[in-house]
Amino acid sequence: MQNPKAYNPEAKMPSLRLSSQEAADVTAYLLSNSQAKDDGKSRPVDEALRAKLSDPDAAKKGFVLISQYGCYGCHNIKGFETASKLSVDLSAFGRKEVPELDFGDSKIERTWTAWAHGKIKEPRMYLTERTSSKMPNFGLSDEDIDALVVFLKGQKKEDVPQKYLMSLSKPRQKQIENGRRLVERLNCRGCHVIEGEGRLIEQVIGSDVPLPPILDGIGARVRPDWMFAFLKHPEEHKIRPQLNLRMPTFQFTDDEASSIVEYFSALSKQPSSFTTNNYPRATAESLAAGEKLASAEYFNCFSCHIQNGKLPLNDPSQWGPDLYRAKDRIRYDFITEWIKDPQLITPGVKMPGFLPSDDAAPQDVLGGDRQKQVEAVRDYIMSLGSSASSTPAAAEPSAKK
Amino acid sequence: MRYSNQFKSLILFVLLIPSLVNASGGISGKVTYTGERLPVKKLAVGIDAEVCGSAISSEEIILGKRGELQNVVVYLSGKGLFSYKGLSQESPAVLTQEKCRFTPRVVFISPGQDLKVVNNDGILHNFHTESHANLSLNRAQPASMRELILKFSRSEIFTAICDVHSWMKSVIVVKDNPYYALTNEKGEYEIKDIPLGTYVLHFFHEKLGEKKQVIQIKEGETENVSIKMGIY
Repeated sequence: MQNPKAYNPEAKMPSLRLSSQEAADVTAYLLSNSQAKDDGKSRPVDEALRAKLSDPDAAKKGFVLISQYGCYGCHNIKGFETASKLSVDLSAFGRKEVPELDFGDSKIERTWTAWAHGKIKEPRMYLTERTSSKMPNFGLSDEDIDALVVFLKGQKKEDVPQKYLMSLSKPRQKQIENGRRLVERLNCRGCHVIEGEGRLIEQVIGSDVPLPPILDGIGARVRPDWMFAFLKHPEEHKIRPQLNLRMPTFQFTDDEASSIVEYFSALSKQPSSFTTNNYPRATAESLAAGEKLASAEYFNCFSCHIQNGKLPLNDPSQWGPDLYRAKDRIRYDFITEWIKDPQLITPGVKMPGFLPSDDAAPQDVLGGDRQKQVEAVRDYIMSLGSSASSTPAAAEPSAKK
Repeated sequence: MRYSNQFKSLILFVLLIPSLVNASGGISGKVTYTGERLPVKKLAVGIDAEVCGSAISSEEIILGKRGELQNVVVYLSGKGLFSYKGLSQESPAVLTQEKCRFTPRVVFISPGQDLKVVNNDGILHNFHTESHANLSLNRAQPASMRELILKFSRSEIFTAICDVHSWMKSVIVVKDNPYYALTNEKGEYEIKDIPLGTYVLHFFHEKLGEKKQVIQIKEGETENVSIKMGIY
């Protein structure tokens, strides 16, 4: 549990960076579960089973049933090693014409697609008095059935029609497809909302507790280099120290992490390439106005945002990320839209809209110009922190003029 | 303000259904709290203590000595209730933020009426509506913005909070008719001049939820409906 990849390099399970004690606690819980199931109650069944095992008639009946239902199609069963396949060959099924399909008495539309869909959804729907079927009802969702129908249409021993092929020639389509596969395989939607779906964890932990973030639009919000670094080492880039949520370490290869960055960038129609911090130099006037707007007299950003490690005084559930680390994380052009009205980008977010309309702009700063004000706050936030060598223009150069 | 609306409603009734003009009844009653009396929560204030004070009492449940329950929204729904629709409201409803509390705790507005949110504290507040029928909004109200004017076009009851000061909460009631009341410190309410008919009478409390019952309004009579609400 502490390092699933050490146990099996192919393991999908990520590392949750558990301490020895945490791993021991989870183990104790899991063991307590399995003990409960093994308790006493299963023994009478064992007795009954033992009696049947010694009955040769029952064994014979089982052999016949296995032959009829073709269990050996999927399972290795002693005595069936050389048995032939039970049902029809599907490798040319996609080529069948409508008259070759037996619709029985059903009222279904006379098309190949409708027949195939019906057969998978309700395998016995075409049966009449004279026909029989062994095919199990797999209880598949309509979505899964549609996928199978498409697959079966491709079983033609010849070229698959263009309309059933995924086109990867559209811009960004390849990145999106690659990313989707990773997201599916790693079950990112277990915690996050991605492309409008997910956060299954909510059904378990409820919605009254902090939940992992919604990732729709994240490509437009964070810098690709930050996202790459975060995916590789989530523990080094914790955004909200007050939360116990833990993004697991997936031990991504560089290729995998890049795929995910490209995927989110492509979804948000952003260039996926890494960008430098070379945004335009802020003027001294703008920086000064930004600092003023961020102060307690105006927007009081640090009443909720962490200030270079200094925690705000209000309830931890209301804290926002450290603004001194924003410039390494947030895309330069995203900040302005966010400051205007975050609600439009992330409905329900705790941060209020500071400049949703012209009349919200304080009149005594930058002539009450809303656009200049959001740019000033952006310039100020981008000037905070000292980590990058490409710190934007400090006030001095233009101030000396 | 409510008088003038009732006056308008009267005019409309005169024009539309003259026979109903004088036929009306009323409802009054009392709401009491049932169940274990919970101690009033004292909330520690970390931020802006120089304005907010060092501790704030929770105002979610306000009880009298004998369990009289204050701030229950009592209202009617059903066919035949006069609607404000098409009539403008001259004066805005006012919701004041003072010492990091919303006053009043419960504010009534009609659809389209201005709600003036006033910041008397000189610090950053924000006004975050947890509405559903109306688009949820979250507006900053910094010290530099004394007044914030908002409108809500659909009838519903929702809470509005301040995320900076997590204890701050108010209840906004958007109603398209004048048949509502709020229980006072004695838990009492009264709704007058209701057109005759059968309606659903609702009791809504921000913490204790909603109760309702069917009620018939008879000419010249004031029905007494008293109920108990509590945490179950």
